[in-house]
Amino acid sequence: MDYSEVKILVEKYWNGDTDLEEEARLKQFFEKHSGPLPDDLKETAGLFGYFKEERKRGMNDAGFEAAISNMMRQPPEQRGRVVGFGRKLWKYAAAIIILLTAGYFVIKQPQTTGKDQAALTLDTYTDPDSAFAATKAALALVSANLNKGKNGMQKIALFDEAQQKVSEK
Amino acid sequence: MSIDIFQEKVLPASDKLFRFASRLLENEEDARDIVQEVMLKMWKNSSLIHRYQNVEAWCMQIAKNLCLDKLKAGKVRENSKTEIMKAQAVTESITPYQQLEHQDQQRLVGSIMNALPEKQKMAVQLRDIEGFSYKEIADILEIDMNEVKVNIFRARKTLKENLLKINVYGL
Repeated sequence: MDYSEVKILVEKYWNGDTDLEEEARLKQFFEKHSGPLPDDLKETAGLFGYFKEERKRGMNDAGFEAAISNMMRQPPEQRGRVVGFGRKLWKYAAAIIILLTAGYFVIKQPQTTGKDQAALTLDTYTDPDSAFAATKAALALVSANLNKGKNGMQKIALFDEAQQKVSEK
Repeated sequence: MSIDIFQEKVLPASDKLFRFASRLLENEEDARDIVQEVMLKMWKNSSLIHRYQNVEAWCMQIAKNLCLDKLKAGKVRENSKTEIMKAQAVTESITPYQQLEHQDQQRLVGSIMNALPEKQKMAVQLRDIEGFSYKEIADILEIDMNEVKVNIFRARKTLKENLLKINVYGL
């Protein structure tokens, strides 16, 4: 890769526009390059050099490796299965509770008490003749009261007529 | 087998996890604790590993959350004072005409990177050192890809400005 090509990629890199493949090419260029670099590539070379050194850092910890080996001797918990069963159990329990509640309300009909039953049967007749006689009496009572009202109405109509005659004069 | 996946995919991530945690916590001892915690969590949940397409990214995400919790709780060990003093001495003594020694250079660039805001620091670590894609970085940091790109852009801009100031020469 020549310098002109590198400079184009470096410009892209600083603008955050390079993809992983282009960054890999830049890394390779700076790693393999020996000798002096043009001034405008020195900052980038320095930074890529830093990244390369950082990548070499590792735990290198014998204590850590021993701790991991020890951990792996304990069997991993089968949490997946236990959690799944627990969740299913709650679902079944919820479904059963809903069904029982619905069933309870369906089965339980509204019960009328003795008092209500008596009220329902009040003023009813089993014999058709006595039922007819009672009906006739009730209707007569209604019509009598209606006629009482009619007399009152006639008096009001007379007063209204008088008032109209007065206002005409 | 969960144990096989654990050995093939989780254990090899320990160095990346260590470097990432070191970057965030600026402390190797705390970083080792974080790696152990991640390994333990992954081991306990090894029956769930097969559900994840990218196990490595999942481990990094767990490490990120553990580190941020530790930082919030203020439970991070203090940086070694001698390291800070060495970095300061180098910054004060440098002139544009001096070529830095390799170790000093590393220390200086490292301190510039550590001084970046948290998200920018993590984005650069994951991209430029560990080679994750923008999609993977978005998953690890639990942000969208645009935010990843913005953080990378800003971080690189700051790095360039500071590198220009100290006149770092290529290795």
